[in-house]
Amino acid sequence: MNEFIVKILDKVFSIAQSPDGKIIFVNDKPYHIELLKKLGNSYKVFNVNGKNFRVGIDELDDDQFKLHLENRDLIVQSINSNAEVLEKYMKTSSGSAGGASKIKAPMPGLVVKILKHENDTVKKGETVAIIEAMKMENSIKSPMDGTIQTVKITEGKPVNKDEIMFEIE
Amino acid sequence: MLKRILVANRGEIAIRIMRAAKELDIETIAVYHEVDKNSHYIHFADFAMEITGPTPKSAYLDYEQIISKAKQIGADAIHPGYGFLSENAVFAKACTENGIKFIGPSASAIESMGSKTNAREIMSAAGVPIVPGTKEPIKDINAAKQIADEIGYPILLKASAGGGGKGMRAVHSEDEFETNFESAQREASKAFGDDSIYIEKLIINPKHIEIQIIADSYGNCVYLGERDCSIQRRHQKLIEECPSTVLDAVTRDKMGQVAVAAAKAVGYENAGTIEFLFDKDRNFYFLEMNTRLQVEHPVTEIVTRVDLVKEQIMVASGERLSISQDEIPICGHAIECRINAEDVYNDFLPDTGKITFIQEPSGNGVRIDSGIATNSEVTVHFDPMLAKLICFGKNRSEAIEKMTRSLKNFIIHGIKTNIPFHLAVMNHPLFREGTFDTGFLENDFDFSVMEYIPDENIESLAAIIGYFIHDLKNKSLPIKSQQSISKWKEKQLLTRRIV
Repeated sequence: MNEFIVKILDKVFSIAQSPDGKIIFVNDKPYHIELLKKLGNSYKVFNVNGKNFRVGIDELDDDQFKLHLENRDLIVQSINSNAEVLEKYMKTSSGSAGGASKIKAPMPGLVVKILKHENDTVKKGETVAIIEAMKMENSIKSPMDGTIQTVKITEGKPVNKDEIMFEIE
Repeated sequence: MLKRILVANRGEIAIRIMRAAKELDIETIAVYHEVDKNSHYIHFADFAMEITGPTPKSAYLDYEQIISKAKQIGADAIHPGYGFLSENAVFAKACTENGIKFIGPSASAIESMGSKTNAREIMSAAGVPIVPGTKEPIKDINAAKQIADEIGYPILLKASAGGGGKGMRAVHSEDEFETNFESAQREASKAFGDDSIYIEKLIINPKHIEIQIIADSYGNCVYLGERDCSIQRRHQKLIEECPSTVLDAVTRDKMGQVAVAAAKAVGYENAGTIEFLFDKDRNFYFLEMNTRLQVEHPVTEIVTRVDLVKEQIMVASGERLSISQDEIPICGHAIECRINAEDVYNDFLPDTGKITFIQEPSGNGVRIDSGIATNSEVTVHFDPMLAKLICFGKNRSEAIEKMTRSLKNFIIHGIKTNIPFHLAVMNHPLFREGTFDTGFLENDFDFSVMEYIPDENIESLAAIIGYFIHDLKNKSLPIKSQQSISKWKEKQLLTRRIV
């Protein structure tokens, strides 16, 4: 029986499977699972202990999955059940270690204005740049308190989705 | 009656207009830019014509090209929908000059109402109450700042040519003025090609209440109840309903009469909306007139039983209004949620991508006006609105129940939507009481309520992921799931081949 760990919303569950694949043990508690229907390529209806769940599941990189339930996305991380790996994972995920943080562009757009420049200090929630997308100006806010290390965007130039805009320390 | 209508728009509103035309036995023409090639509205039309431009948006704004397409295919009318060319007086005039009926008001009515400052003057003269503010549009930042000081903070900056919240900024104190003024000018210039700004006193947290009117070319004009559009974000409406929880029959009638007077003051023909701010002391002030069909028109259609688009087409055909004021009921309650491609967990930033799966809710009391389907691409080129979900019941609480059920059953996978936000609003005590105002998002809404997922479900989700991962691992082995076509379907295919 191959076992592993999944992590959803900071909760960790051990997962095991019965030999016939129909029962999944979550923290040793049995869940009878049946795939009732596939809706298109990405959506599925599961029956879990009698209750129906309509969920979308996408595979991401790095053993991550994106669950879609009632139009909300949940990122699920799976880890091989190796005590050492688990311990390491728990450590890195719980400690908010220092180091540089990046602000990525949340959507493609045009950089209208850069409000914070290198060596400027910023507060969490403070606007660092304005991006225009879909005809609206959107404020890009700092996720943390810190100092701007590098600015990687230029006013008047476009940015792509997930492109790094700022590095903060 | 008109025979062939070109719809100078895209997405859900193009379909909405074509539905009405089809019911009147009128042929429909869609125009599309290449990026919309696979959009549902094109296939819904009787004819489709490609339009081009340096950007997709510019194609839909290129009125000369659109008029030439209309002439080429023999359209006798153009319906502009909302946005794009709908409030463009030059376009309306060009239609008329080319012998094509513009389904909307006259160019001069659009012009009078299109300039905020001009509209205020006309309204003031017609006895419509207005908010204190500037009489002339302003471009110079120093002059603007001086006027702001005179009116007294808080103030509101608005694009003189604007609408839909673009180029609009609230300024609470002097030191915020410059950044906001520049920002409003940039947005105004980009959205409307005119960076003149108009300043008025900011009425703190009013309700946004608007009155729908429609007029024919014989001087008949009626109002069709109100819409409460107070749930907004940055002046963009998100939820609209009819009737409003704060209007009684007397106030409704009073506002309705004022709206009709406002329309008559500019010789208005066709459908339009007079927007009002409604303050805590039940005063109402003219905000602006939208000289077009509005996004939120379905809530009015449901409670008044009037098909506004059909009425628009008939009025444009030269017929009289089919309804008189005393025949218009307010029957039951309707609510609309705008379903936008936005990440509500990240400051409502617009999302783009491919819709990998969609399942719409249906059933008693549910209407969907949508322009999307599975495999639709949501791009940066247009507004993030994907669809409108409208629910109605015998009273407000039933409408809310139906909306909650429908939002939960609405699956849109592949891009992020604002559905979790709408669900949270439906469940919010202030929304349920009906005492919310335009400050709801800023002051009353707690975004953390969208995060909650009960613990028992989390274990089930862990089980589902567990099942899925095992399934993935087993897929490397050749197994039974090879049978992708069912026996029944196989048979069907065979029969078809024989036939």
